[in-house]
Amino acid sequence: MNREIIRSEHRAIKLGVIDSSIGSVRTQTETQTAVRVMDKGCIGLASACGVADVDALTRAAQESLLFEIAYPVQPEGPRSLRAEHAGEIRDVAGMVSLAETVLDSLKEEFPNFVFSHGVEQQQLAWNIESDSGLDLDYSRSSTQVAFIAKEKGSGNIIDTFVGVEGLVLDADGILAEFRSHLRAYMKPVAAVQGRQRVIFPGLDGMAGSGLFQLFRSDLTARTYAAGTSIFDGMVGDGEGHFNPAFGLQELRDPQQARVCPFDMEGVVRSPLNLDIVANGQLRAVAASKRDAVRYGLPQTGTAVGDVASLPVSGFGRLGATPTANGLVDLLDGEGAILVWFVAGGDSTRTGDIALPVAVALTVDGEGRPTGRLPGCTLTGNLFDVFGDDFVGVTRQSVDPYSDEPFLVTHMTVQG
Amino acid sequence: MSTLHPLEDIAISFPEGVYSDVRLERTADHRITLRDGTLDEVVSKVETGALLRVLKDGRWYIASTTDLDRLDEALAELAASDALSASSMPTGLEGLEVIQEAVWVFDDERVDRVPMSEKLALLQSHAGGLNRPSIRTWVARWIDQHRDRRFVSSMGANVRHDYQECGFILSFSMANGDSTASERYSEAGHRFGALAADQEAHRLTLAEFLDKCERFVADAVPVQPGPATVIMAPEVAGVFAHESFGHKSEADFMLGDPAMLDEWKMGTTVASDIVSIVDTGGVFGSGYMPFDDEGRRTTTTRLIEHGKLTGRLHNGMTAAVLGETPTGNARAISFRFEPIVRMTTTTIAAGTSTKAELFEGVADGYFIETVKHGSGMSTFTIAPGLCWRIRDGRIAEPVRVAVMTGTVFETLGEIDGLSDEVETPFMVGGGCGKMEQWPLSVSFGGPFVRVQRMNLA
Repeated sequence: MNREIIRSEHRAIKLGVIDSSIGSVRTQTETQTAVRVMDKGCIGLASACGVADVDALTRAAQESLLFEIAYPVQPEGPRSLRAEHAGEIRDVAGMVSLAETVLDSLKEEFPNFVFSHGVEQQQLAWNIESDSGLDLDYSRSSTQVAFIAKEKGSGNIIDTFVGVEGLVLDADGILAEFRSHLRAYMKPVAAVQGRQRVIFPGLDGMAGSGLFQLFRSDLTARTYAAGTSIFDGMVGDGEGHFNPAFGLQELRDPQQARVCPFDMEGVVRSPLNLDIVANGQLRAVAASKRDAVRYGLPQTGTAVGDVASLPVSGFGRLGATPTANGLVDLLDGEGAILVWFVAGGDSTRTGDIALPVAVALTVDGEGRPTGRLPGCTLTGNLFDVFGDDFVGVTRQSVDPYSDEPFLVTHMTVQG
Repeated sequence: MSTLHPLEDIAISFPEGVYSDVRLERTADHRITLRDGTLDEVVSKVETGALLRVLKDGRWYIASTTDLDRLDEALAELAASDALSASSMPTGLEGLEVIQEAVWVFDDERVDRVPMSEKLALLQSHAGGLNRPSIRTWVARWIDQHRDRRFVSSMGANVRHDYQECGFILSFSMANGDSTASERYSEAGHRFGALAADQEAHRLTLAEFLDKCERFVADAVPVQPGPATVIMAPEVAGVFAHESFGHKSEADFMLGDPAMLDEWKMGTTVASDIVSIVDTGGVFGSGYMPFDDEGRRTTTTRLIEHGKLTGRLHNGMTAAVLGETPTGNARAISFRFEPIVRMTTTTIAAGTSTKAELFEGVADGYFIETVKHGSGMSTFTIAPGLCWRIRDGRIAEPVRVAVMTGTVFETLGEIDGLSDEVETPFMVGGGCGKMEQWPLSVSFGGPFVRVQRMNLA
C-alpha cells in the first residue's frame, strides 16, 4: 500500500471596496488535508478541512478502498522539490495604505466612476508527500488590486474593470495601468465591422479564456480517446493544422511563469513545459497517469483538481510561444482592437467561436489604448484564428506585474 | 449534543461595545462519478466553519475560520481592530428585527444519511440509459449536499435553518460521422426518496432527450448569424431573467450613483407590458432560503410588474443607504465569504398564450430548447445547447448556435408573447457567480418566452 498526504494552506486578507471606499476587512485562514491510499490497483481518498488527524484520515481512506475504484498506476517517487513565488507580504495597515493611495487618486482623477470590489493578498501553499518518498512543496504569495468601474448614470451594473496582480505592487505602477485604461474608456469611438486585427491580453482571464476553450475541452484524454474531439486524429499526425508560428504549451516552469512545477499526481515533467501545439502541429493530449492507462495514451503530467478530489486530466495554465518582443512589433504601424472583457463566449462543435465583447478598446500602432468601441461580437473559426489569421504572441507582458503575453490575431467584428 | 444539528450547541461570547454576529455552517457533501461505466470517484466531505463579523465605527471587520474552538478569541481580536477610519455610512442595523427561530425542514429525510450504496445504485440505473451506439463517452455524477446554518448576533438573534439538494447529471458526447455534440441531462430535488420514486419517469424523459440529441447531431446546420425572432424554453427563459434583469436588480450596484437611482425610479417602464419578474426566497427549489445570511427573513420581491420597475433586491446596508426596505437577499456561498446582495428564485410570470399559439406566431425564427451557460452585464449572453429553426410556426431543422446576445432593455421590450405555464427547474452542480463567490444555489424559470429580435451567432 502506498499513502500520499496532500496538504493545502490558504491565507488571505481582503479589503472590500464599496462606493470607492474601503468598507470591510476580511481575513481568512484555511487548511485542508487529504490522504490517498493506493493498494492492489485501487485508490481510496479521505479529506478534512481545518485541523486534521492524518491517522484517522488514513483509516477513512482505507475504508473507501471498498469501493474498488481502479487506479492501476505506479506511484511517483522518490523525489524532493521545492518551488516558491514569494511576493511582498503586507499587514492590514499596509494593505489599507496601498488601497487608499490608489482609490484617492482614482476618485480625484475619475470622479465620474464608482469603484468597487477590492484588494486581496493571497498566500497559498501545497505539499504532496508519500510513503514512496515523494516530497513536493509549492507556495505563492501575491496581491491583486481589482476594481469594477461603473460610470455614474450609465444604467449598467458594471461598465469596465481595472486590475493587476503581482508579487510586488506599487501604487504608481498600478495607477499608470488604470489611468491608461480609463482614459481610453472615456473616449467613445465609432463601431467597426468586418475582419479586424484583435489583441487578447493574456490567454486566461476575462478576455482570452474563451478563445482557448476548445483546446481545454477537446484535448482531454477521455474526449480525445472517444473520437468526439474536434481534433480527432490530429494529435501526432505531423500535419500543420495551425499557423507554423503558433505554439501552445501547458506551463509548469516556475522560472517562466507563476506556476507550480508538479501536477496533482505528483508528476514533475522534463522538460517542465508541455508542448500542446508546436510549429502548428498538435502534439499532446491532457492525460493523467490514470487516464493514460485507461485510454492507452501517453501520460503527460496533466492531473488537475482540488485537494479533496481525485485528480482528473486537464490543462492548467496555458502559455504561447513568443513570436515578437513587443506589441508594437505585431501591429505593422496600424491600429487594432484590444479585447478587454468577454461576457460568456462559446463555440460550436465545428470550431466556430463567438465572443460577445462587453469592453473593447482601440489601440494605435504603438499599442497604446486610444478609445472605446461599442460592445460587439467577435467571430471566427478556431483553425483560422490560430491558422492563417494568426499574427503572433509577445514576450512583453500585458502589464508590469503580469506573466501573461499579448496574443494578436484576426477575427470578424459584428456590431 | 444534538446529533442532527451540532451547531445548536456552540456557545458564543460577544465582545462588549460593538455589534457582532457569527454565521456557523456545517455542510456534508457527497459525490459519486461514473465514467464510461467505471466507478471513477466516491467523495464524502464534511466542512464546518464560521464567518465572524464585527461592526466598529461604521466599518466591518470580518474573519472566516474552521477553528470553532477559538470563536470568542477571534471575535475579541476583530473588536480590537482599528485599521480603518470611521464611516458614517448607514449599516442596516437600524430597526433590525431580532429573530429567534429554527426552521428545520429536512430532518425527516436527511440526504447525508442515505447510504452511498443506494445513491450509487440510482446513478447506475440512470447511467444505463446512456448505452447507445451514438454516445461515444459519458460521465454520470451524483451530487448531494446537506447544509445547516445558524446565525447568532450580539443583539440576540438566533436563527437556524437547513437546506439540502441531491441529483444526478449525465454528461455525454454524441457523434454521427464527423458531427458531434456534447449535452447533459439532469434531475434534482430536495429529497432522495422523491428522485428514487420518479426513476421510471426520468428514464423515459432521458430516452426522449437522447432521441432528440441524436437528431440534432445528425442534422444540425450552422446558424445564419444576425438578428432573429426567438422562442426560449422555460429553462432558457429563466437564465435570461436571471442574467438580463436579475443582476441589475441587485442594489449594491447602485451605491454611489445618484444618477442611476434617478434613472431606476420605481414605476419606470423597463420591459414590454406583458412582462413581470419576481424573486422569492421562501419557495422550495434550489433557491430556497427561509432566512438570509444577515438573519433576516427572506421575502417575495416583485422586480417588474407589467413592464414597470417595482422593486429591487437588498441586504441591510444597501436598503439603509438607498432608504428602501430590506428584502432578505444577503447571501454568501459559504462561511468563507461575507454576504452580498444575491438572488434566490427568480422567475418570469406566466402569460396568457398557449405554447402552441406562441409558435404559430413565428413564420421564421429559432427555438432555443436548452442552455449551456449565461452571463450578463449591460448586454447578456446565453450559450444555447439544442436549437431548432421554426418555419411557419413549426419546429424544423436543428441549428448550431454558439451564443445568443442582446442589450437588456431592448430585449425586455421585444418580448411579445408568454405561455401560460411556468416551469422552474431544480439546479444541481452549478449556480450563480458574482465577484469571487461561485457557485451559489439559485433557481430560475419562466414560461415559454417569445422575443421578436435577438442576435444569434
